[in-house]
Amino acid sequence: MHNIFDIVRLIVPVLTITVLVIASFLPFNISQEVVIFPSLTLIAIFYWAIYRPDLVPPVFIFLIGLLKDIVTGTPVGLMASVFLITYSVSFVQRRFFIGKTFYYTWFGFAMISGASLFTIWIMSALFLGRVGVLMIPLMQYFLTVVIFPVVIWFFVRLQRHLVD
Amino acid sequence: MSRRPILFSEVAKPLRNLWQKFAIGGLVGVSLFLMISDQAGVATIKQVKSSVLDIMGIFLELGTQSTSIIRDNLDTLKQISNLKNELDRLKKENQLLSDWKHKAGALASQNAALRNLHNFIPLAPADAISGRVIASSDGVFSKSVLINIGKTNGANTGQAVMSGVALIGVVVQTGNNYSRVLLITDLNSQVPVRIQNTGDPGIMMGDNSKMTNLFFLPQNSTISEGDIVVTSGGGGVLPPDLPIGIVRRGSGALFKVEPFEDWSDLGYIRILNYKFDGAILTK
Repeated sequence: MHNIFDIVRLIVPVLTITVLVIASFLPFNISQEVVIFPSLTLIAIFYWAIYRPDLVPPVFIFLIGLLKDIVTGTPVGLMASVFLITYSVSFVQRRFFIGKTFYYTWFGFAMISGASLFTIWIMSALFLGRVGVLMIPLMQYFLTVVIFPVVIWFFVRLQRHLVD
Repeated sequence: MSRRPILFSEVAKPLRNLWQKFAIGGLVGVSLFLMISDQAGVATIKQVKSSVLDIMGIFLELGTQSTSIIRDNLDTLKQISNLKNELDRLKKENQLLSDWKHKAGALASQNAALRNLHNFIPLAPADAISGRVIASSDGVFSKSVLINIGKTNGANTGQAVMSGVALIGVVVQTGNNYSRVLLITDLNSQVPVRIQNTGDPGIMMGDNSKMTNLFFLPQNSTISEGDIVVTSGGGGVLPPDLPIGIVRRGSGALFKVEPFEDWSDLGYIRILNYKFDGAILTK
């Protein structure tokens, strides 16, 4: 029989991604200065696609991407497709990351997140017909890669205590 | 010989296998289809977007209230330590403002006299609807905010949005209770402007950075750094003479606009409910 703990165990990955996406909507960064936040959602998608893909269905990734598109005003489907591609590439490559040293995973994330953020930049430019500044996405990329170990430290503990 | 009934699992299993194989590819395909439909302005997608905004807005508003409480408390703590400097700064500013008050009074009476002289018909004053920002894009690939003013409060596409005294963006999408404002610094934003000192017209375009670019200035323009940029009212969408920012020199022959240092309190905004008689946007 399922108890409440079993249900929590099953929804932790989906819940972490949802919370991070909703947190990214909150207006912390309203000022004339461009305040850049790391893309924690990409880290969460990468992590759970590798370690517990069975608990994160692709349909959820698609829907959460659509929600991000609608709330942040990007063309509907843009973030959904980029999230799905990030998820599937991480999932397909998971056997190269599991059981390897952390540096290997970090390098893998740097490659995958770089490609994801670059895809968003290119697709935004294609849809608008004009190119935005490259420096801001680049800064977000470096910030995301630099903060990766800290976020992973939390996820590992979350997985160890709540999921597995 | 009787036929064996087909079990549900026999039908479901191949379908499930098929779904597992092609789910991601299929969903990416759907996403691309949605992207193209959204760009083509399909009405159903617009309706779904505004419905989702209305539902999400309720949660986001709750989230914004809690974050603003934290932010206010942190701000108060910072201000206490800086009270003396702030007092000095305010005294200086007050002196400067009272000088300007006298100058403005003189200019206002001169302006009134000149208008009488020319039988000038002024534009109708705009009503303002106040609201607050409840969500923002991450600012990396787009710069827009969600506000808690919707169609029911009088918001309409194309209306100017101000923070304090300066223009910050334009309403681009409306739900019943919430609307999206495209900020002037967004890549997609194009505003017809005028240089206040010289009267030169131009188009201001964003590029997602904190400054915007000025294009299509006249060839013989005498624009210089420090000039004030205001809306021109061209195109009949935005009211004229809304302050935007100050001209800064960019690389090469490019001029940029630094929006007025007025955005730090962009928790609250005002929508201008402006009507152009006989123009496209009269709703």
